[in-house]
Amino acid sequence: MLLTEPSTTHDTFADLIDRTASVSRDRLWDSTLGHDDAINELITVTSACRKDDWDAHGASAVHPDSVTLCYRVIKSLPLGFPSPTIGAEPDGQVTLEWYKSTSRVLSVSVDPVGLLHYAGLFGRSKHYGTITFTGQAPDQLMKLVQDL
Amino acid sequence: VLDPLHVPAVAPEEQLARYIVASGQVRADRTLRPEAFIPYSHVELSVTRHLAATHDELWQVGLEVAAERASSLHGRADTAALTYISEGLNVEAVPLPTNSNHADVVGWPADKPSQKIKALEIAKRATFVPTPTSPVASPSHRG
Repeated sequence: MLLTEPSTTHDTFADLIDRTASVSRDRLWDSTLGHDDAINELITVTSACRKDDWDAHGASAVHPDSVTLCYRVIKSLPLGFPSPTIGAEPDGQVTLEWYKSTSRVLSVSVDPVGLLHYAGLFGRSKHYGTITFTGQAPDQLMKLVQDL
Repeated sequence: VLDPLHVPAVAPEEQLARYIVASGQVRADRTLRPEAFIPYSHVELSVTRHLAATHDELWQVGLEVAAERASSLHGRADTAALTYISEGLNVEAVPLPTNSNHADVVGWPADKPSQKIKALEIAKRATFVPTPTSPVASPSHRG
């Protein structure tokens, strides 16, 4: 049962609906439609790259703001949308990758200030640039993934 | 390895190795992620030339790089110098006291998206060679 009882007598009907919707979302996130694997991988990457020189070539530790923003980007993705895999770059930025093959792949670097630097190979064409993340899944990013 | 007193310029057909210490830079299908080819903290990418190096010498350099940081060497990314050159980059011989086969890939653009698209193209052409005893031989991560 998804509906929950009001926790206090001051709860409005809107509060109840909000809480019920939240429970529903959480359950969907826990299902195969969500992106829990990506979140877990973000934790793994953050742990593996938490110290400078994690790549033995002089890399910086992953930037906490990049990790936080990456989490928000993942959480902003619609349920059922293809999940990215997670990586890190030597400048401390966390990356999201959607990969079909070495010729059809999109890599997105999450800048600590909220910029998403992307580059993608789409068969014979390629695209690269920067998108501003405002808290919602950017349409441009979604289209790039769908075009892979 | 090369005689440090007689180091030739890097030829386009030469094979170059980029040592992989971070297992996350290799996908489960043993292809390479572009992160392995992003230059930082310098504006050059450090590689080792195969030229005149035996199989053991080539691995020994990588093992020493990893050992200096108390890390594991997962393998190396091999690609021809021409791969870098075709992306508008240059490969310069920069012998080090500990590695006379050392070279730098230079000429990288300053902006991140331009670096990334070059790294993707290079990663597409690179071949991952796992360290003979590497745990990457049985990858557990997704990708």
